Amino acid sequence: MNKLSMAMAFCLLLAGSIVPRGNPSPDGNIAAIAPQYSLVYAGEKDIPIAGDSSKKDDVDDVKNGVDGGMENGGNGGMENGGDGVLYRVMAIVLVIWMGLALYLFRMDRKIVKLEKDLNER
Amino acid sequence: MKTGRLVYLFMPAAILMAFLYAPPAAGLGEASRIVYFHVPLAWGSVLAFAVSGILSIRYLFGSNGSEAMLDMKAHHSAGIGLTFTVLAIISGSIWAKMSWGSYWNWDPRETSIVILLLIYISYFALYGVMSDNGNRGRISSVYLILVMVVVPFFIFVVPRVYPSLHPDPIINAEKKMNMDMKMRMTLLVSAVSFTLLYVYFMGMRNRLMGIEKKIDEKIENRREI
Repeated sequence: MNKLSMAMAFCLLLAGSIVPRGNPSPDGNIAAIAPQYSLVYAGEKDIPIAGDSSKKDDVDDVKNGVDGGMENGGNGGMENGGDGVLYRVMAIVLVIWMGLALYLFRMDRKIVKLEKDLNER
Repeated sequence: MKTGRLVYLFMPAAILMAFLYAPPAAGLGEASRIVYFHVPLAWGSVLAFAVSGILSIRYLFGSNGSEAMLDMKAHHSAGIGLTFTVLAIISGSIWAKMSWGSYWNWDPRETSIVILLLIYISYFALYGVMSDNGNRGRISSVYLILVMVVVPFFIFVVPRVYPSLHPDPIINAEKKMNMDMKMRMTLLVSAVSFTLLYVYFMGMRNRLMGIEKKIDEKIENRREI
């Protein structure tokens, strides 16, 4: 475990030295360059529903390699879940959860069995 | 233990709510849905670290015999907390790339979580090298208590003192939740789900530890016979 910990610490330090700092601000005030947003519902007019592919600019930005599709004030092509992206992401998350749940369930059953065996002997 | 099994119900509900029930946030769009995983993961890690500190206090100052193996339980809780922290950092980095254009920005909150991660990695290194030391439980417990005192400073104080790319805390200085009702509900269900996941993991690890202990006792008894 200590070897693993040291390896993790090394990787973190390495990552810290390699990863560039994003959005550099001339005066060093990162709050000044922070996008203005809050976790408030945008409203029906601003955000089309998932699956609606009427707003393609962000998807195109991502395809063209424009910085995360953010240049047009979008969200990396996820603004409207274009072409059902939202549902695909949800399906992937659900599949990951199902795999984890199955693993946990099987482990739980094995532990219960071990506990029973130990108590009987 | 049985409470933890509720995670099988809550987690799929949280996932479905995050993608189908909660509306997208202003300015962030669909990418804002990461918040329903990122924030509960961070919450789960804080909870796990707090529990490890409390168990360490009980281990050091308990006197009724119930403190046996509490250092091991604290170790398990810190392990789960570390895993949750790594996942929170990964989910946060993905969100940062989508919102700010870079995976890592050395934002005060990001910096403080890395320091916290290093502190807990040091704990595991310390715990690992003392495997033959009889005082391992006491030394590691003292370390976890000291860390528990430091954690609130890194998580709650530093991000509020320095300017940050992160939005205002959900519960801010105005003591008002700037969040849509549906979003709030989804975040709550997700937070409960990750808390249950923590409880479930913790219960399983402790039960495994109990099994190991019983096997050791039986082996000892047979040797004596």
